[in-house]
Amino acid sequence: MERALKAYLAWSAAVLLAAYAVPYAIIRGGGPQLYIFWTLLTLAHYLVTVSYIRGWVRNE
Amino acid sequence: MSDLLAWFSGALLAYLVGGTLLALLARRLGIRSSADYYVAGYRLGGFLSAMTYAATTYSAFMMVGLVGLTYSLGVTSLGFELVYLLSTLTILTALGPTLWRMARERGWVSPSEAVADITGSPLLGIVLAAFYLVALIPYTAAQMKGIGEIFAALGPGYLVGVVVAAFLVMLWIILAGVWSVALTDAFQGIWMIASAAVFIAWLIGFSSSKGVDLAAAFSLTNAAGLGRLWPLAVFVGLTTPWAFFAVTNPQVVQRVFMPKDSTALKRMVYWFGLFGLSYTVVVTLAGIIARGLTAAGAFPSIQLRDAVTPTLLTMAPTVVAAVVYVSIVAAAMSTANSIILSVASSFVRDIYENRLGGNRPIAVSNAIVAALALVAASIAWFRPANIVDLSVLSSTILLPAAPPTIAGALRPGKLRKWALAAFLVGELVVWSAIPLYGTRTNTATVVGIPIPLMSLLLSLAITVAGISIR
Repeated sequence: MERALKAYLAWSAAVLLAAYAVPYAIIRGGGPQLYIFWTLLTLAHYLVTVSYIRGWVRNE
Repeated sequence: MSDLLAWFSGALLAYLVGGTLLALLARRLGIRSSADYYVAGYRLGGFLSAMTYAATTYSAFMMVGLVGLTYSLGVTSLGFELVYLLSTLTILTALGPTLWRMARERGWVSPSEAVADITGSPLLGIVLAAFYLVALIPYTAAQMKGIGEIFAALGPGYLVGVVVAAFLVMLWIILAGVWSVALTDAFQGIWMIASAAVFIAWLIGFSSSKGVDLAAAFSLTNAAGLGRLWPLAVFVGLTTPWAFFAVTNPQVVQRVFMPKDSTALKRMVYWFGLFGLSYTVVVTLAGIIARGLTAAGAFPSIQLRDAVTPTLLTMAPTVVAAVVYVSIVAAAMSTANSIILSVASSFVRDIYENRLGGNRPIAVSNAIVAALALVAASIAWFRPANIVDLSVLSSTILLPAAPPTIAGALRPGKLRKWALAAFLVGELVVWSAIPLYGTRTNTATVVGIPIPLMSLLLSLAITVAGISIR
Protein backbone atom coordinates (compact mmCIF):
# COMPACT_ATOMS: atom_id res chain seq x y z
CA MET A 1 0.00 0.00 0.00
CA GLU A 2 1.46 3.37 -0.98
CA ARG A 3 2.37 5.91 1.70
CA ALA A 4 -0.13 8.55 0.59
CA LEU A 5 -3.01 6.06 0.83
CA LYS A 6 -1.86 4.94 4.29
CA ALA A 7 -1.77 8.58 5.42
CA TYR A 8 -5.22 9.20 3.93
CA LEU A 9 -6.64 6.12 5.67
CA ALA A 10 -5.10 7.20 9.00
CA TRP A 11 -6.65 10.66 8.56
CA SER A 12 -10.04 9.13 7.67
CA ALA A 13 -9.96 6.83 10.68
CA ALA A 14 -9.16 9.80 12.91
CA VAL A 15 -12.01 11.81 11.38
CA LEU A 16 -14.53 9.00 11.83
CA LEU A 17 -13.40 8.44 15.39
CA ALA A 18 -13.71 12.18 16.04
CA ALA A 19 -17.24 12.21 14.57
CA TYR A 20 -18.29 9.86 17.41
CA ALA A 21 -15.84 10.68 20.20
CA VAL A 22 -15.73 14.49 20.22
CA PRO A 23 -19.51 15.00 20.57
CA TYR A 24 -19.88 12.28 23.21
CA ALA A 25 -16.68 12.92 25.18
CA ILE A 26 -16.14 16.65 24.80
CA ILE A 27 -19.04 18.71 23.45
CA ARG A 28 -21.85 16.69 25.09
CA GLY A 29 -24.58 19.30 25.59
CA GLY A 30 -24.58 22.06 23.03
CA GLY A 31 -26.75 21.99 19.90
CA PRO A 32 -25.16 24.73 17.76
CA GLN A 33 -21.63 23.57 18.69
CA LEU A 34 -22.51 20.04 17.61
CA TYR A 35 -23.93 21.31 14.34
CA ILE A 36 -20.84 23.41 13.62
CA PHE A 37 -18.45 20.63 14.66
CA TRP A 38 -19.95 17.96 12.40
CA THR A 39 -20.26 20.37 9.47
CA LEU A 40 -16.67 21.62 9.75
CA LEU A 41 -15.34 18.09 10.26
CA THR A 42 -17.07 16.93 7.07
CA LEU A 43 -15.87 19.99 5.16
CA ALA A 44 -12.29 19.35 6.34
CA HIS A 45 -12.54 15.68 5.30
CA TYR A 46 -13.96 16.69 1.95
CA LEU A 47 -11.07 19.11 1.32
CA VAL A 48 -8.44 16.54 2.36
CA THR A 49 -10.16 13.96 0.13
CA VAL A 50 -10.13 16.36 -2.81
CA SER A 51 -6.41 17.08 -2.36
CA TYR A 52 -5.61 13.38 -2.00
CA ILE A 53 -7.47 12.31 -5.13
CA ARG A 54 -5.74 14.96 -7.22
CA GLY A 55 -2.81 12.55 -6.97
CA TRP A 56 -4.72 9.80 -8.80
CA VAL A 57 -4.16 11.42 -12.18
CA ARG A 58 -0.54 12.35 -11.45
CA ASN A 59 0.15 8.74 -10.47
CA GLU A 60 -1.24 7.26 -13.71
CA MET B 1 -58.56 22.72 -9.16
CA SER B 2 -56.63 24.30 -6.30
CA ASP B 3 -53.71 26.63 -6.99
CA LEU B 4 -51.25 24.14 -5.51
CA LEU B 5 -52.58 21.26 -7.61
CA ALA B 6 -52.38 23.42 -10.73
CA TRP B 7 -48.74 24.44 -10.01
CA PHE B 8 -47.84 20.87 -9.02
CA SER B 9 -49.35 19.52 -12.25
CA GLY B 10 -47.40 22.10 -14.28
CA ALA B 11 -44.11 21.36 -12.50
CA LEU B 12 -44.72 17.61 -12.76
CA LEU B 13 -45.42 17.92 -16.47
CA ALA B 14 -42.17 19.87 -16.97
CA TYR B 15 -40.34 17.16 -14.99
CA LEU B 16 -41.94 14.29 -16.95
CA VAL B 17 -41.33 15.89 -20.35
CA GLY B 18 -37.76 16.94 -19.48
CA GLY B 19 -36.87 13.50 -18.11
CA THR B 20 -38.44 11.63 -21.00
CA LEU B 21 -36.72 13.80 -23.61
CA LEU B 22 -33.38 13.10 -21.92
CA ALA B 23 -34.15 9.37 -21.79
CA LEU B 24 -34.99 9.46 -25.52
CA LEU B 25 -31.76 11.34 -26.21
CA ALA B 26 -29.87 8.58 -24.39
CA ARG B 27 -31.13 6.02 -26.94
CA ARG B 28 -28.76 7.53 -29.48
CA LEU B 29 -25.82 6.23 -27.45
CA GLY B 30 -26.62 2.68 -28.56
CA ILE B 31 -27.17 -0.31 -26.27
CA ARG B 32 -25.76 -3.57 -27.63
CA SER B 33 -24.62 -5.55 -24.59
CA SER B 34 -25.42 -5.99 -20.92
CA ALA B 35 -22.32 -3.90 -20.15
CA ASP B 36 -23.87 -1.02 -22.16
CA TYR B 37 -27.24 -1.52 -20.50
CA TYR B 38 -26.06 -1.73 -16.89
CA VAL B 39 -22.73 0.08 -16.62
CA ALA B 40 -22.84 2.42 -19.64
CA GLY B 41 -20.05 0.42 -21.32
CA TYR B 42 -17.69 1.92 -18.68
CA ARG B 43 -17.98 5.22 -20.57
CA LEU B 44 -19.81 7.59 -18.21
CA GLY B 45 -18.43 11.14 -17.80
CA GLY B 46 -17.51 12.57 -14.39
CA PHE B 47 -20.47 14.91 -13.93
CA LEU B 48 -23.04 12.29 -14.94
CA SER B 49 -21.31 9.73 -12.68
CA ALA B 50 -21.51 12.12 -9.73
CA MET B 51 -25.10 13.12 -10.28
CA THR B 52 -26.35 9.58 -10.76
CA TYR B 53 -24.45 8.55 -7.61
CA ALA B 54 -25.98 11.43 -5.63
CA ALA B 55 -29.52 11.08 -6.97
CA THR B 56 -29.43 7.31 -6.40
CA THR B 57 -28.13 7.68 -2.84
CA TYR B 58 -30.35 10.50 -1.65
CA SER B 59 -33.97 9.36 -1.69
CA ALA B 60 -37.23 10.96 -0.59
CA PHE B 61 -35.97 10.26 2.94
CA MET B 62 -33.93 13.47 2.85
CA MET B 63 -36.57 16.11 2.15
CA VAL B 64 -39.29 14.32 4.12
CA GLY B 65 -37.69 11.91 6.61
CA LEU B 66 -34.57 13.83 7.61
CA VAL B 67 -36.36 17.18 7.98
CA GLY B 68 -38.83 15.41 10.29
CA LEU B 69 -36.09 13.52 12.15
CA THR B 70 -34.22 16.76 12.85
CA TYR B 71 -37.46 18.46 13.92
CA SER B 72 -38.31 15.60 16.30
CA LEU B 73 -34.92 14.40 17.52
CA GLY B 74 -32.71 17.45 17.08
CA VAL B 75 -29.19 18.24 15.98
CA THR B 76 -27.80 14.68 16.26
CA SER B 77 -29.72 13.94 13.03
CA LEU B 78 -27.04 15.96 11.21
CA GLY B 79 -24.30 13.78 12.75
CA PHE B 80 -26.22 10.66 11.72
CA GLU B 81 -26.34 11.77 8.08
CA LEU B 82 -22.80 13.21 7.97
CA VAL B 83 -21.22 10.02 9.35
CA TYR B 84 -22.66 8.37 6.24
CA LEU B 85 -21.02 11.02 4.04
CA LEU B 86 -17.64 10.89 5.84
CA SER B 87 -17.54 7.14 5.50
CA THR B 88 -18.70 7.11 1.88
CA LEU B 89 -16.06 9.65 0.84
CA THR B 90 -13.44 7.46 2.51
CA ILE B 91 -14.66 4.25 0.87
CA LEU B 92 -14.97 5.84 -2.57
CA THR B 93 -11.48 7.30 -2.28
CA ALA B 94 -9.71 4.31 -0.77
CA LEU B 95 -11.46 1.44 -2.59
CA GLY B 96 -12.98 3.25 -5.58
CA PRO B 97 -9.91 3.14 -7.84
CA THR B 98 -9.34 -0.59 -7.14
CA LEU B 99 -12.97 -1.54 -7.82
CA TRP B 100 -13.12 0.75 -10.87
CA ARG B 101 -9.94 -0.78 -12.39
CA MET B 102 -10.95 -4.36 -11.60
CA ALA B 103 -14.42 -3.81 -13.11
CA ARG B 104 -12.76 -3.07 -16.46
CA GLU B 105 -10.15 -5.78 -16.26
CA ARG B 106 -12.62 -8.49 -15.27
CA GLY B 107 -15.67 -7.20 -17.14
CA TRP B 108 -17.93 -6.85 -14.10
CA VAL B 109 -21.47 -5.76 -14.83
CA SER B 110 -23.45 -6.69 -11.72
CA PRO B 111 -22.42 -5.95 -8.11
CA SER B 112 -23.02 -9.56 -7.04
CA GLU B 113 -20.73 -10.71 -9.87
CA ALA B 114 -18.06 -8.37 -8.49
CA VAL B 115 -18.46 -9.65 -4.91
CA ALA B 116 -18.36 -13.28 -6.11
CA ASP B 117 -15.17 -12.55 -8.04
CA ILE B 118 -13.24 -10.65 -5.36
CA THR B 119 -14.19 -13.06 -2.57
CA GLY B 120 -13.68 -16.16 -4.72
CA SER B 121 -17.15 -17.37 -3.72
CA PRO B 122 -19.62 -17.74 -6.63
CA LEU B 123 -22.21 -19.00 -4.14
CA LEU B 124 -22.00 -15.73 -2.18
CA GLY B 125 -22.82 -13.89 -5.42
CA ILE B 126 -26.03 -15.91 -5.85
CA VAL B 127 -27.02 -15.62 -2.19
CA LEU B 128 -26.36 -11.88 -2.31
CA ALA B 129 -28.59 -11.48 -5.40
CA ALA B 130 -31.44 -13.08 -3.41
CA PHE B 131 -30.80 -10.76 -0.47
CA TYR B 132 -30.84 -7.73 -2.80
CA LEU B 133 -34.40 -8.72 -3.67
CA VAL B 134 -35.45 -9.14 -0.03
CA ALA B 135 -33.81 -5.92 1.12
CA LEU B 136 -34.32 -3.60 -1.82
CA ILE B 137 -37.65 -4.37 -3.46
CA PRO B 138 -39.50 -3.24 -0.28
CA TYR B 139 -37.23 -0.16 -0.28
CA THR B 140 -38.26 0.55 -3.88
CA ALA B 141 -41.91 -0.05 -2.99
CA ALA B 142 -41.53 2.46 -0.15
CA GLN B 143 -40.29 5.07 -2.68
CA MET B 144 -43.34 4.41 -4.87
CA LYS B 145 -45.54 4.59 -1.78
CA GLY B 146 -44.00 8.01 -1.03
CA ILE B 147 -44.95 9.24 -4.51
CA GLY B 148 -48.44 7.80 -4.00
CA GLU B 149 -48.80 9.70 -0.70
CA ILE B 150 -47.85 13.01 -2.39
CA PHE B 151 -50.43 12.42 -5.12
CA ALA B 152 -53.00 11.52 -2.46
CA ALA B 153 -52.28 14.67 -0.44
CA LEU B 154 -52.46 16.96 -3.47
CA GLY B 155 -55.59 15.47 -5.04
CA PRO B 156 -54.98 13.06 -7.94
CA GLY B 157 -55.04 10.04 -5.58
CA TYR B 158 -52.66 7.45 -4.17
CA LEU B 159 -53.03 4.84 -6.89
CA VAL B 160 -52.40 7.41 -9.64
CA GLY B 161 -49.09 8.22 -7.95
CA VAL B 162 -48.06 4.56 -7.73
CA VAL B 163 -49.00 3.94 -11.38
CA VAL B 164 -47.10 7.05 -12.56
CA ALA B 165 -44.05 5.94 -10.55
CA ALA B 166 -44.09 2.38 -11.92
CA PHE B 167 -44.63 3.59 -15.49
CA LEU B 168 -41.77 6.10 -15.29
CA VAL B 169 -39.39 3.57 -13.73
CA MET B 170 -40.06 1.18 -16.61
CA LEU B 171 -39.99 3.84 -19.34
CA TRP B 172 -36.82 5.58 -18.19
CA ILE B 173 -34.93 2.32 -17.79
CA ILE B 174 -36.18 0.49 -20.87
CA LEU B 175 -35.44 3.41 -23.22
CA ALA B 176 -31.66 3.13 -22.81
CA GLY B 177 -30.75 1.23 -19.65
CA VAL B 178 -28.36 3.03 -17.36
CA TRP B 179 -27.68 5.72 -19.97
CA SER B 180 -31.24 7.00 -19.68
CA VAL B 181 -31.15 6.45 -15.90
CA ALA B 182 -27.92 8.47 -15.57
CA LEU B 183 -29.18 11.33 -17.74
CA THR B 184 -32.52 11.50 -15.93
CA ASP B 185 -30.70 11.16 -12.59
CA ALA B 186 -28.56 14.20 -13.45
CA PHE B 187 -31.71 16.13 -14.33
CA GLN B 188 -33.40 14.97 -11.13
CA GLY B 189 -30.31 15.65 -9.00
CA ILE B 190 -30.18 19.24 -10.28
CA TRP B 191 -33.91 19.60 -9.57
CA MET B 192 -33.41 18.22 -6.03
CA ILE B 193 -30.53 20.51 -5.06
CA ALA B 194 -32.02 23.60 -6.76
CA SER B 195 -35.40 23.12 -5.07
CA ALA B 196 -33.68 22.52 -1.71
CA ALA B 197 -31.91 25.88 -2.16
CA VAL B 198 -35.22 27.60 -3.03
CA PHE B 199 -36.92 25.92 -0.08
CA ILE B 200 -34.30 26.96 2.49
CA ALA B 201 -34.13 30.51 1.10
CA TRP B 202 -37.91 30.83 1.47
CA LEU B 203 -37.83 29.20 4.93
CA ILE B 204 -35.10 31.52 6.25
CA GLY B 205 -37.05 34.53 4.96
CA PHE B 206 -40.34 33.24 6.37
CA SER B 207 -38.75 32.44 9.70
CA SER B 208 -37.11 35.88 9.95
CA SER B 209 -40.48 37.50 9.26
CA LYS B 210 -41.74 35.66 12.36
CA GLY B 211 -38.81 36.96 14.42
CA VAL B 212 -36.88 33.67 14.38
CA ASP B 213 -33.48 34.03 12.70
CA LEU B 214 -31.02 31.13 12.40
CA ALA B 215 -29.34 31.83 15.74
CA ALA B 216 -32.73 32.05 17.45
CA ALA B 217 -33.85 28.78 15.79
CA PHE B 218 -30.78 26.98 17.19
CA SER B 219 -31.24 28.54 20.59
CA LEU B 220 -34.97 27.68 20.71
CA THR B 221 -34.24 24.12 19.53
CA ASN B 222 -31.63 23.81 22.26
CA ALA B 223 -34.04 25.16 24.85
CA ALA B 224 -36.58 22.55 23.75
CA GLY B 225 -34.03 19.87 24.73
CA LEU B 226 -33.20 18.90 21.14
CA GLY B 227 -29.57 20.02 21.26
CA ARG B 228 -28.77 16.95 23.32
CA LEU B 229 -27.05 13.92 21.84
CA TRP B 230 -28.91 10.69 21.27
CA PRO B 231 -27.77 7.84 23.55
CA LEU B 232 -24.46 6.53 22.16
CA ALA B 233 -25.85 3.03 21.47
CA VAL B 234 -28.67 4.55 19.39
CA PHE B 235 -26.23 6.74 17.43
CA VAL B 236 -23.88 3.82 16.77
CA GLY B 237 -26.76 1.47 15.92
CA LEU B 238 -28.27 3.90 13.42
CA THR B 239 -25.02 5.05 11.78
CA THR B 240 -23.28 1.66 11.40
CA PRO B 241 -25.41 0.30 8.50
CA TRP B 242 -25.21 3.63 6.63
CA ALA B 243 -21.46 3.97 7.15
CA PHE B 244 -20.97 0.91 4.92
CA PHE B 245 -23.75 1.73 2.43
CA ALA B 246 -21.17 2.37 -0.32
CA VAL B 247 -19.94 -1.26 -0.27
CA THR B 248 -23.18 -3.06 0.56
CA ASN B 249 -25.88 -1.47 -1.60
CA PRO B 250 -25.67 -2.73 -5.20
CA GLN B 251 -27.09 0.41 -6.80
CA VAL B 252 -24.13 2.48 -5.58
CA VAL B 253 -21.44 -0.23 -5.82
CA GLN B 254 -22.30 -0.55 -9.52
CA ARG B 255 -21.87 3.18 -10.07
CA VAL B 256 -18.16 2.91 -9.26
CA PHE B 257 -17.73 0.69 -12.36
CA MET B 258 -19.12 3.33 -14.73
CA PRO B 259 -16.78 6.39 -14.96
CA LYS B 260 -14.94 6.45 -18.29
CA ASP B 261 -11.48 7.18 -16.86
CA SER B 262 -9.76 8.04 -13.59
CA THR B 263 -10.48 11.75 -14.12
CA ALA B 264 -14.20 10.95 -14.34
CA LEU B 265 -13.94 8.83 -11.20
CA LYS B 266 -12.19 11.71 -9.43
CA ARG B 267 -14.90 14.16 -10.54
CA MET B 268 -17.54 11.74 -9.34
CA VAL B 269 -16.11 11.95 -5.81
CA TYR B 270 -15.69 15.78 -5.99
CA TRP B 271 -19.22 16.53 -7.10
CA PHE B 272 -20.90 13.85 -5.04
CA GLY B 273 -19.17 15.11 -1.86
CA LEU B 274 -20.20 18.67 -2.55
CA PHE B 275 -23.78 17.64 -3.35
CA GLY B 276 -24.03 15.47 -0.23
CA LEU B 277 -22.68 18.06 2.17
CA SER B 278 -24.83 20.89 0.78
CA TYR B 279 -28.02 18.83 0.63
CA THR B 280 -27.56 17.46 4.15
CA VAL B 281 -26.88 20.86 5.70
CA VAL B 282 -29.87 22.46 3.95
CA VAL B 283 -32.27 19.66 4.90
CA THR B 284 -31.25 19.55 8.57
CA LEU B 285 -31.34 23.36 8.79
CA ALA B 286 -34.95 23.19 7.58
CA GLY B 287 -35.77 20.82 10.46
CA ILE B 288 -34.09 23.09 13.00
CA ILE B 289 -35.82 26.22 11.71
CA ALA B 290 -39.19 24.43 11.79
CA ARG B 291 -38.56 23.37 15.39
CA GLY B 292 -37.53 26.96 16.26
CA LEU B 293 -40.76 28.24 14.69
CA THR B 294 -42.78 25.75 16.76
CA ALA B 295 -41.02 26.88 19.94
CA ALA B 296 -41.78 30.50 19.01
CA GLY B 297 -45.45 29.64 18.44
CA ALA B 298 -45.29 30.42 14.70
CA PHE B 299 -45.68 26.83 13.47
CA PRO B 300 -47.89 24.04 14.84
CA SER B 301 -46.38 21.28 16.92
CA ILE B 302 -46.12 18.24 14.65
CA GLN B 303 -46.22 14.77 16.17
CA LEU B 304 -45.87 12.73 12.96
CA ARG B 305 -42.30 13.24 11.68
CA ASP B 306 -43.09 12.77 8.00
CA ALA B 307 -45.74 15.50 8.22
CA VAL B 308 -43.24 18.30 8.99
CA THR B 309 -42.23 19.10 5.39
CA PRO B 310 -45.79 18.89 3.98
CA THR B 311 -47.01 21.19 6.79
CA LEU B 312 -44.19 23.68 6.10
CA LEU B 313 -45.12 23.60 2.42
CA THR B 314 -48.70 24.61 3.20
CA MET B 315 -47.21 27.94 4.34
CA ALA B 316 -44.92 28.39 1.32
CA PRO B 317 -45.85 30.16 -1.91
CA THR B 318 -47.59 27.61 -4.13
CA VAL B 319 -44.84 27.70 -6.75
CA VAL B 320 -42.19 26.86 -4.11
CA ALA B 321 -44.38 24.09 -2.68
CA ALA B 322 -45.02 22.62 -6.15
CA VAL B 323 -41.32 22.62 -7.08
CA VAL B 324 -40.35 21.00 -3.75
CA TYR B 325 -43.07 18.35 -4.06
CA VAL B 326 -41.80 17.45 -7.53
CA SER B 327 -38.24 17.30 -6.11
CA ILE B 328 -39.46 14.69 -3.62
CA VAL B 329 -40.98 12.72 -6.51
CA ALA B 330 -37.62 13.07 -8.33
CA ALA B 331 -35.65 11.86 -5.30
CA ALA B 332 -37.90 8.81 -4.95
CA MET B 333 -37.85 8.05 -8.69
CA SER B 334 -34.07 8.35 -9.09
CA THR B 335 -33.55 5.94 -6.19
CA ALA B 336 -36.22 3.50 -7.37
CA ASN B 337 -35.06 3.15 -10.96
CA SER B 338 -31.40 2.71 -10.01
CA ILE B 339 -32.29 -0.04 -7.55
CA ILE B 340 -34.51 -1.87 -10.06
CA LEU B 341 -31.78 -1.69 -12.69
CA SER B 342 -29.12 -2.90 -10.29
CA VAL B 343 -31.17 -5.80 -8.90
CA ALA B 344 -32.08 -6.83 -12.47
CA SER B 345 -28.38 -6.87 -13.42
CA SER B 346 -27.67 -9.57 -10.84
CA PHE B 347 -30.21 -11.88 -12.45
CA VAL B 348 -29.40 -11.12 -16.07
CA ARG B 349 -25.64 -11.19 -15.69
CA ASP B 350 -25.04 -13.80 -12.97
CA ILE B 351 -27.76 -16.24 -13.94
CA TYR B 352 -29.00 -15.65 -17.51
CA GLU B 353 -25.66 -14.81 -19.15
CA ASN B 354 -22.99 -16.43 -16.97
CA ARG B 355 -24.80 -19.63 -15.92
CA LEU B 356 -27.40 -20.24 -18.63
CA GLY B 357 -25.30 -18.83 -21.50
CA GLY B 358 -28.15 -16.61 -22.72
CA ASN B 359 -27.44 -14.32 -25.67
CA ARG B 360 -30.38 -11.92 -25.66
CA PRO B 361 -29.51 -9.90 -22.53
CA ILE B 362 -31.27 -6.66 -23.54
CA ALA B 363 -34.67 -8.26 -24.16
CA VAL B 364 -34.38 -10.32 -20.97
CA SER B 365 -33.24 -7.24 -19.02
CA ASN B 366 -36.26 -5.26 -20.20
CA ALA B 367 -38.59 -8.08 -19.15
CA ILE B 368 -36.98 -8.39 -15.72
CA VAL B 369 -37.00 -4.62 -15.17
CA ALA B 370 -40.71 -4.53 -16.04
CA ALA B 371 -41.43 -7.49 -13.74
CA LEU B 372 -39.50 -5.97 -10.79
CA ALA B 373 -41.17 -2.57 -11.27
CA LEU B 374 -44.58 -4.25 -11.30
CA VAL B 375 -43.77 -6.27 -8.17
CA ALA B 376 -42.62 -3.12 -6.33
CA ALA B 377 -45.71 -1.23 -7.53
CA SER B 378 -48.00 -4.07 -6.42
CA ILE B 379 -46.42 -4.05 -2.97
CA ALA B 380 -46.84 -0.26 -2.82
CA TRP B 381 -50.43 -0.59 -4.09
CA PHE B 382 -51.49 -2.95 -1.29
CA ARG B 383 -49.47 -1.07 1.36
CA PRO B 384 -48.62 -4.11 3.54
CA ALA B 385 -47.77 -3.00 7.05
CA ASN B 386 -44.22 -4.30 7.02
CA ILE B 387 -42.84 -2.68 3.85
CA VAL B 388 -41.71 0.41 5.68
CA ASP B 389 -40.12 -1.81 8.35
CA LEU B 390 -38.19 -3.75 5.74
CA SER B 391 -37.20 -0.64 3.81
CA VAL B 392 -35.89 1.01 6.98
CA LEU B 393 -33.83 -2.10 7.63
CA SER B 394 -32.52 -2.52 4.06
CA SER B 395 -28.98 -1.37 4.84
CA THR B 396 -28.87 -3.43 8.04
CA ILE B 397 -29.88 -6.52 6.06
CA LEU B 398 -27.03 -5.93 3.59
CA LEU B 399 -24.47 -4.87 6.23
CA PRO B 400 -22.85 -8.31 6.78
CA ALA B 401 -21.61 -8.15 3.17
CA ALA B 402 -19.28 -5.25 4.07
CA PRO B 403 -16.31 -7.09 5.67
CA PRO B 404 -15.93 -9.79 2.99
CA THR B 405 -16.39 -7.19 0.22
CA ILE B 406 -13.74 -4.84 1.62
CA ALA B 407 -11.36 -7.72 2.37
CA GLY B 408 -11.96 -9.11 -1.12
CA ALA B 409 -11.13 -5.77 -2.73
CA LEU B 410 -7.86 -5.64 -0.78
CA ARG B 411 -6.92 -9.32 -1.30
CA PRO B 412 -8.96 -10.63 -4.25
CA GLY B 413 -10.00 -14.26 -4.43
CA LYS B 414 -8.62 -15.34 -1.03
CA LEU B 415 -11.67 -15.68 1.19
CA ARG B 416 -13.81 -18.25 -0.67
CA LYS B 417 -16.11 -20.16 1.71
CA TRP B 418 -15.14 -17.85 4.58
CA ALA B 419 -16.81 -14.97 2.74
CA LEU B 420 -20.11 -16.82 2.58
CA ALA B 421 -19.79 -17.88 6.24
CA ALA B 422 -19.08 -14.29 7.32
CA PHE B 423 -22.14 -13.03 5.44
CA LEU B 424 -24.48 -15.75 6.70
CA VAL B 425 -23.45 -15.44 10.35
CA GLY B 426 -24.04 -11.67 10.17
CA GLU B 427 -27.45 -12.35 8.60
CA LEU B 428 -28.27 -14.80 11.38
CA VAL B 429 -27.86 -11.99 13.91
CA VAL B 430 -29.98 -9.57 11.86
CA TRP B 431 -32.79 -12.02 11.12
CA SER B 432 -32.90 -13.25 14.72
CA ALA B 433 -33.44 -9.67 15.83
CA ILE B 434 -35.99 -8.51 13.23
CA PRO B 435 -38.93 -10.63 14.55
CA LEU B 436 -38.14 -9.45 18.09
CA TYR B 437 -37.52 -5.75 17.51
CA GLY B 438 -39.01 -4.86 14.09
CA THR B 439 -38.08 -1.28 13.10
CA ARG B 440 -36.23 -0.94 16.41
CA THR B 441 -33.67 -3.55 15.32
CA ASN B 442 -31.09 -0.85 14.56
CA THR B 443 -31.33 0.69 18.01
CA ALA B 444 -31.80 -2.48 20.08
CA THR B 445 -28.78 -3.79 21.97
CA VAL B 446 -27.60 -7.19 23.14
CA VAL B 447 -25.10 -7.10 26.03
CA GLY B 448 -24.85 -3.37 25.39
CA ILE B 449 -23.84 -3.76 21.74
CA PRO B 450 -26.19 -2.40 19.04
CA ILE B 451 -27.43 -5.23 16.82
CA PRO B 452 -26.04 -3.82 13.53
CA LEU B 453 -22.61 -3.46 15.17
CA MET B 454 -22.79 -7.00 16.52
CA SER B 455 -23.69 -8.33 13.08
CA LEU B 456 -20.81 -6.37 11.54
CA LEU B 457 -18.29 -7.50 14.17
CA LEU B 458 -19.18 -11.17 13.78
CA SER B 459 -18.92 -10.93 10.00
CA LEU B 460 -15.60 -9.10 10.43
CA ALA B 461 -14.26 -11.73 12.85
CA ILE B 462 -14.99 -14.56 10.40
CA THR B 463 -13.51 -12.55 7.54
CA VAL B 464 -10.30 -11.94 9.52
CA ALA B 465 -10.18 -15.62 10.51
CA GLY B 466 -10.56 -16.57 6.84
CA ILE B 467 -7.69 -14.32 5.79
CA SER B 468 -5.45 -15.52 8.64
CA ILE B 469 -6.07 -19.23 8.05
CA ARG B 470 -5.63 -19.07 4.28
